[in-house]
Amino acid sequence: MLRGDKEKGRPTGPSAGPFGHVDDWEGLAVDFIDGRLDPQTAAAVEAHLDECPQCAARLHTQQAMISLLRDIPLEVPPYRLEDRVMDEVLVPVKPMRRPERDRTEEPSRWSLIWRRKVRPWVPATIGVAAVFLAIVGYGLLRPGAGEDLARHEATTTVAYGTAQTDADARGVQVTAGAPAAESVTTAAPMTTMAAEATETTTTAGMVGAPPEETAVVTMAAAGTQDRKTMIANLEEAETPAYFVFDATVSGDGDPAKKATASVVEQIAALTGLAPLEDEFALDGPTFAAFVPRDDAVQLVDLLQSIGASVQLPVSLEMRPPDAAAQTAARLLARKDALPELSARRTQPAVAGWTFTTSTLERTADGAAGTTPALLDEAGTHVLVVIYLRD
Amino acid sequence: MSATDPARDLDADLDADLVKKARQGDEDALTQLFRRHERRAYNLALRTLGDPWDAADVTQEAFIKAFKNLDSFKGEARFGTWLHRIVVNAAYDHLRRQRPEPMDSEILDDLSGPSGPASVVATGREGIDPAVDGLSDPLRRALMSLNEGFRFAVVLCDLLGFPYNEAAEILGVQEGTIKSRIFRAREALAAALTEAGYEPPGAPRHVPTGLEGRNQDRPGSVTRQSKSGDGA
Repeated sequence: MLRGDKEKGRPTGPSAGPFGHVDDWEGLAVDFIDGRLDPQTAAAVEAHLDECPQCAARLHTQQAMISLLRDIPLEVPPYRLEDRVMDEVLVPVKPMRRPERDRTEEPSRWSLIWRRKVRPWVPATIGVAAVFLAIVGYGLLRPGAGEDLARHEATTTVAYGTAQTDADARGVQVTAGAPAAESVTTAAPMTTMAAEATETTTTAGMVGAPPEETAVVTMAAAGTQDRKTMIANLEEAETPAYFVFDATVSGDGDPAKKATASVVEQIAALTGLAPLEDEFALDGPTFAAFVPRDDAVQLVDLLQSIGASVQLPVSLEMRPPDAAAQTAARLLARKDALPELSARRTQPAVAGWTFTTSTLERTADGAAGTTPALLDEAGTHVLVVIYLRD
Repeated sequence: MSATDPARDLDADLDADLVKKARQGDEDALTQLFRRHERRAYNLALRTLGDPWDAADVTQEAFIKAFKNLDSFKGEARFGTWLHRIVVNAAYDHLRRQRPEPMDSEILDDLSGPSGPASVVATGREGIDPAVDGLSDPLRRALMSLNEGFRFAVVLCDLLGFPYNEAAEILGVQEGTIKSRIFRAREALAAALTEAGYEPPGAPRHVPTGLEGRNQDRPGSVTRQSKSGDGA
């Protein structure tokens, strides 16, 4: 390609006349190849090349290599690069823990978190044709709110504007017409967001399997874990992975209950999963699903954002709680009934994701034993269990 | 310096505008900035480090650093220049960090370059899916066999199309140095390919004046061919 104007000062070599070999005028040769030399100098170079096959050959090699190199197509960066960068830049490192400082005056960090982390997760809930989601955070940033207060008052409410179950009732249970916001008496809402209604994206071929059996995502909360570590652990998990929301940090009583309820609601709304039946509850409410390893980032971000919204730590453990080992075993024995939970980028490719829950293919009568190779055993998915410790 | 390419200037203006908005907290502007430069930045890292995972890590690191320090971008250089300089530094740092690692001798033999370790094929680190790498193996090896200064120069100019003056700014050297480096880098690449049994397809024995049309006779990919003519 033409590089436009002529170079003013010539880089190397004599301006004209007989040169030595090209080693003495590499820069000039480069400009010559680019067609950027003034006519006299170019003519001098040509004169030399006419007499010197070695130099002519070397310039020829230059030309060939340039063509070769410029033909190399640019690779497409990994698609997660953008999320990783923007998450890091837009969301301060520790979204959670301690809002003890009064941040009321700052452009709310929480609003950033909501926007980046929660909002994109407009659910594509199975069986819900349109979901209207409103998340309202109360009291988080209230001036003067002590840490405890802030934590206890933190409430996120998810409400569905419309919830409509598909004819074949494969859906996750969704409370229709729930109030748009659970009212919390203190403080004004600091953050309010409403995600647009979303069309359901549902995969066909899901017969039978009541929701209780189809949803198996376990989230758990314990100490705060580093996001990257979690993602890496989840992606490389060789056993089922357990996410724990630790509601014990909220103590007993109302605040803890509210936080728990909120987590359950958010998970249900944002993933389309329903809590498992009590007999499969590892401690508090429990979810489970097969999650593609490729979606580890999305899942971790979602769960962390949910945890953040209610001030509950989320952690990832690679084994069930000791006390619930038997329950976990029962659950794993039924894993063929679990759905797949996958994230997909919203179209057009803005920085948004939706989660889709789909039950795995099974025979029409839902008979056991005909399940195709289980996803986690195939290596593409991780069986993820999400539960609350309360 | 010289080459004032109107399109590039327009690009730079747009960048400047986005930077301004981003500084005021406009997230979309920041995202736009990312998307406008992501590809070249990633390819710069990819072609100088030789490994998609490393490249993704380094690109990520560089963007985060740049975006968190947007205020220190004074607008004296183009944003792209400034950003790619950060990428280059991150890539150099990465190579520094990596060098002492003991290497599998087989891989070392294979690469026989000073920056061989960068090419070690890693397994899914941090879950980045590497882009499918369309670069032919001999060419990648040839690139990786270059000394860093030459590799960075040739990648910037010949692969990514940065003007020499911008590449010089990015690498913090004189423009003349860039030209000299890319000249030698191209020769070294040709030699490495020839040695590996490949040769860039032939071109006219004599370099035509100016060579404006050099992109018209694209040699296509490197093909194995018998030695013909007077190639290097």
